[in-house]
Amino acid sequence: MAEAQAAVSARGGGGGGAPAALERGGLKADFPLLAHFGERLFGKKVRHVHAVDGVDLTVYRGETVGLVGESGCGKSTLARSVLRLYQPTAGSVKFEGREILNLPPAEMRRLRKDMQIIFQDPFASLNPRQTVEQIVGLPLRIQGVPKHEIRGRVLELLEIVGLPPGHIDRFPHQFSGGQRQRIGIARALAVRPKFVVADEPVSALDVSIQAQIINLLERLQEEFGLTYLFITHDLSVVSYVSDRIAVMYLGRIVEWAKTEDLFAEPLHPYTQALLSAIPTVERRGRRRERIILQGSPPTPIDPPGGCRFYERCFLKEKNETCRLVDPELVDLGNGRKVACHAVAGTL
Amino acid sequence: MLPDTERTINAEPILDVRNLRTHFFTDRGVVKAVDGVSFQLYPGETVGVVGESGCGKSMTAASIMRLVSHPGRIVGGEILFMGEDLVRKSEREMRRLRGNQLAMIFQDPLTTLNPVLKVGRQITESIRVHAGDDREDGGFFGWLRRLLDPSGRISRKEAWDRAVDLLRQVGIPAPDERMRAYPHEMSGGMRQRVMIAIALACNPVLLLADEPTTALDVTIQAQILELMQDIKEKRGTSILLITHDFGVVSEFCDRVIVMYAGKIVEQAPLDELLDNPRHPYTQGLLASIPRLGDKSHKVRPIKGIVPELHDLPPGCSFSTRCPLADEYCGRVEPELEEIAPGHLVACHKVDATAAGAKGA
Ligand SMILES: Nc1ncnc2c1ncn2[C@@H]1O[C@H](COP(=O)(O)OP(=O)(O)OP(=O)(O)O)[C@@H](O)[C@H]1O
Ligand SMILES: Nc1ncnc2c1ncn2[C@@H]1O[C@H](COP(=O)(O)OP(=O)(O)OP(=O)(O)O)[C@@H](O)[C@H]1O
Ligand code: SF4
Ligand SMILES: [Mg+2]
Ligand SMILES: [Mg+2]
Repeated sequence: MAEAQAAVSARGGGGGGAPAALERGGLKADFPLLAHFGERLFGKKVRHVHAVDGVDLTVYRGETVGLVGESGCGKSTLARSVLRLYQPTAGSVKFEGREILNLPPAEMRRLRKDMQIIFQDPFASLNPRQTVEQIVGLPLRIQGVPKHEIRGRVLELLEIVGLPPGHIDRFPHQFSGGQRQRIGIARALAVRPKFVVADEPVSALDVSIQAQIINLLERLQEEFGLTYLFITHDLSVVSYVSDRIAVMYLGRIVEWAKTEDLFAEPLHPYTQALLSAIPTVERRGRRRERIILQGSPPTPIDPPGGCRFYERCFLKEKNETCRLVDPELVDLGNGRKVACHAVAGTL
Repeated sequence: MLPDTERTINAEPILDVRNLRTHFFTDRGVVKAVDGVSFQLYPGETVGVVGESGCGKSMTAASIMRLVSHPGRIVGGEILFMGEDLVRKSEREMRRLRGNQLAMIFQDPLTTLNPVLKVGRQITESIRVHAGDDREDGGFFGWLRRLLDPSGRISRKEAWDRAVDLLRQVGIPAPDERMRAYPHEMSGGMRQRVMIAIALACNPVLLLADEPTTALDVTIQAQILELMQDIKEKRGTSILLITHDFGVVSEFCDRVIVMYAGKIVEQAPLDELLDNPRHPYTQGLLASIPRLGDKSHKVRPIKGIVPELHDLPPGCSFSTRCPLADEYCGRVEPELEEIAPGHLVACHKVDATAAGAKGA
């Protein structure tokens, strides 16, 4: 697996075209991925679903960035746009300093090898009529690996993800959820990517199996120097795996922080509510100070002007400015960014 | 609210399940979905049922409601609800109980709500059916009795008002308008509230809640849990809460039942279970949960996978994954035994698990 490591050492150069918002954090280290989306990522015929709307996302090599937020807030859309599985309507995505949104298909295919995705649903994402060898071998075939080498490579991959070699000729329905997720991981790793997007890789799994997969992903990161974008709505899981966390609300990132900082002191009111709402073993039995948000998230179809959290915001500071002016993501230093007028003092 | 021990011991249980066995007869063999489950639920108590997917949690609840469908069947045991055995009740008697004293919230509200009926209609219907005792039963005699004595029924208008009131109680804004909405026009959290409203329509004594918040986002889950807590305090309803989320259990339940492969492997008051888990499976489950915001606490997964229910290992079902298992475990099935007041464990090595329990 030495190749995987060698590939990673390609430096993130350039980045000169990065928007100002990213300069401080974005350029001082190597970055395998630098993404910037302008307006409206996602156009629909009649109305626009602003699934992801003006998001800046930087992931440094070797780190794990967690992306959290409620169902439908645009996490998967963002992930797929980064990999160009969706074509964003505007903006830019840079991988190792190189703009990829306008790359011609042939070059994009070559790049795909470096960027892989593990899907949310281990049941739906595997073709039921293919054997493990065919499933895991497919990306290898696409990359032009000779036929006679494929079986050997697949066996190697099965060993890495902890599946017995005897399972290579089985079909997906013969596996449990956790095992299927391992097949998905083996497939994603087949082409030795540098950057892996894990879209809710453990959400469909039981806790005892979840822990197996989390540990596996961590081990693979150490072994192969992988960089992860880890998407989930489970904050316990995300706090466990991530170095930094981005909190999304309705197509926007509303807070960025190092993991410890976020849990020590959530700044955005949405983050505060989110953290307080999670039932945990440690906070057992007590009816603690829970922030109960009123209502449900508004839809990303024609989102409100001003702060998107305005309707549900409980801060006593909130006022007309919040309703009318969309708060920018303000850099507070030390890796912390927040999009809230009250926190940023722009009321 | 922890029930005081005194009362728990003295009071008659609302629900007393004894050696319940529900099996599915499939081509691949007999699936012992529920296999010898016994537990009690006391008035005003909330008991959590946890365990991995497929361990028989829903089927336990479905058996209590007598809603197990083909190829499944209750093959043994008793379900004493307020002293009467539900297993022996006729379908007609069951229908009278369901939605009156006995109500259930299902995991997926979309599959239980009728998609083509407005929610108002569905709630009023259920209010009227139950207010009108069993006379909704079809057939000539039901019809005749309704004809001869219309007074037992409550009017549409009354039912409508009660439904609006219920929607308000479960925290749905503008309930009058919402009565005219179809289920698909509501968010997941709202549909779940409608389900709860329907379940509460008739003031049940016992509420079976099967993963009532699993499909919901955490902020909505918090709303629903708060609501259920409220109801429990106001009405003293007993709740059997099925979930796989230890967090939910920790904040909501008085006692916990841990199931594995169709059986109860441990049962204890909440604090006792969390502080002193004694079954290796419970210990494994607790060790595999990441701690919120604490990266230093390493998760330790349970090895292996859940065995297939139609092909269980002999002896202890957990023996194929258990770090303590020996040859005896693989041969002889452990019985559920009381090791401390209210703390039951089914494990041969229960003496060896005490020390490991702390670090686990
Ligand atoms: N093909 C599509 N056409 C129109 N709208 C879409 C499409 N795909 C997604 N959306 C909308 O975009 C929004 C964001 O969806 P996305 O799948 O990114 O959310 P998510 O944060 O991943 O949610 P979840 O946690 O449920 O996976 C949602 O409101 C969704 O309804
Ligand atoms: N119609 C059926 N035919 C055969 N087996 C069934 C059927 N319905 C359920 N089972 C089996 O009964 C067992 C118990 O199912 P049950 O729904 O009670 O699990 P559960 O603990 O509620 O799981 P989950 O957490 O996934 O909801 C499962 O192993 C399932 O495979
Ligand atoms: S009985 Fe044996 S195998 Fe079963 S849990 Fe106890 S030690 Fe493990
Ligand atoms: Mg998604
Ligand atoms: Mg279930």
